[in-house]
Amino acid sequence: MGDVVVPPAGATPTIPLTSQTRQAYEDLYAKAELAVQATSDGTILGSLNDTKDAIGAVISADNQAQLAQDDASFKAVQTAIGAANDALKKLAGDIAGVASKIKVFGDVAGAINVVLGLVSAL
Amino acid sequence: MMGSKNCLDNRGDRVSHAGMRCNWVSFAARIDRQLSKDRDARNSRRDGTGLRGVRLLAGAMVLCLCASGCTKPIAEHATAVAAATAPVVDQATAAYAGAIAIHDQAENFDAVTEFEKISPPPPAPPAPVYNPRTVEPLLSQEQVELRLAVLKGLQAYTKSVVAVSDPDSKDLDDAAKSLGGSLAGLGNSFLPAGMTAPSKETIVVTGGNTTNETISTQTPAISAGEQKGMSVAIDALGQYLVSRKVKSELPGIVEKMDPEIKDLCELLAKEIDILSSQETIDFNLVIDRQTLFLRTASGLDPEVRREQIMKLPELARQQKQAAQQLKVLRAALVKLEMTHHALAAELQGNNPESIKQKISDLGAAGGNLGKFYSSLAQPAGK
Repeated sequence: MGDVVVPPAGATPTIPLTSQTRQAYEDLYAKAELAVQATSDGTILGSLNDTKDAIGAVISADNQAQLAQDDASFKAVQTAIGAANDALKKLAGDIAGVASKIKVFGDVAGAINVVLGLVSAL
Repeated sequence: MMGSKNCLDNRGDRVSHAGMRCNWVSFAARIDRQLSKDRDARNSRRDGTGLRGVRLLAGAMVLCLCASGCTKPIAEHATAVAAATAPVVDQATAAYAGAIAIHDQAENFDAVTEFEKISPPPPAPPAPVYNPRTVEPLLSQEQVELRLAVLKGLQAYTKSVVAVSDPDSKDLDDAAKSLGGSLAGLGNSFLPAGMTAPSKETIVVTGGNTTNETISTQTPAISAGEQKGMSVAIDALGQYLVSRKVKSELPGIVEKMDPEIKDLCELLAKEIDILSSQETIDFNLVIDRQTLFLRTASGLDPEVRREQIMKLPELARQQKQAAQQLKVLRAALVKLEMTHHALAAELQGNNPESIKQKISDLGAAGGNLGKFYSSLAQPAGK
């Protein structure tokens, strides 16, 4: 674990954890979990579980803090995606506009044809 | 990986269409054959000027389309991006839901411990009174909704890119057909009618004398075949205009989104690491607390105890499955980032053969990921 020292029992670590402190907690948690898995004695198991879960609670708090920090990044991406979707919607409208303009020409030509038909019938 | 820089490897700001395969040569030949066939079948009184005009128009349209290139390769790459996006959206949604569910379960197990906690003897401070209302979820409703909204936006983006790169031509086809029909009607009103070739020889007996008569019937100035040719030419013009619009605007949109997609993939990858860490802690808590209970609970009915012990392996299986899903999602994120970057490169004309091969591979991988995800979505044991 190097120079990184996990806070003594009872002390509250600062959340979010630094990457080194986080790694130290993770290593400690992994060792505690291994100890839990290797124990069948109920009394010892209870004590090991309490220790392991206390370490897990610190990592969980850090996880939740990191997830909360990500909210701003998600909002920024959401804005960018929204702008791209608006631009694509406009482009789709322009593409549909090509067909509608051709249709207008067709309608006009059809209307002229009808008028000519009526005139020639007179 | 495509490198860490966000900008594309631009060699200029013009879109190049080199290397695009088009079927417009066969398209031109088809129009030409249709019109020639139509002309040969008729003995038109006209000098054929109108027919040549239509052929010229069709030829010009074909040249327009050849010059503009076609959007087929872009549509294929856009489809590959959409295929790579689908598993990311589905699996990320499932990953958040799964992590929240196991965290809630862990909170339930933790509630037993906290509820039963015995205060130490004075002067040590008493243990806090357990209150279920103070339990915090892994992610709040707002946080979940924000992430789901981003994933839905991403899916809408890739679907829109596919839609504009390969637009539905039904409206254009209908409009071209309508305009072709209207123009043919106008032509028939203004232009002199044609005559068919002598089609019938009849012997007419009048007062003992026989004479031969050939019969020709009047035909419209613009035949049905010419009308079809006009509609096809108008349709080609419409496709050219659509293609030009797509090629002028889509590259900018996709290029601008490329660093955003990269950021999003990295952000999701970071959150997967957090979810993975949290799921490990939560699954361990559930399994270990249940194990402790089964080892220490006295007076438990042997049959009930047996059933509860038999549930432990299922929890371990769920833990492994959740870890595997996150691993697959991590890989899907890398592929999404790469396929989008390849699409952006294709739109900029910077698409060497090696990247084309990667796109093909990634497209197939996207499909496999979707299938794999579906298999993982099956309930355990089925």
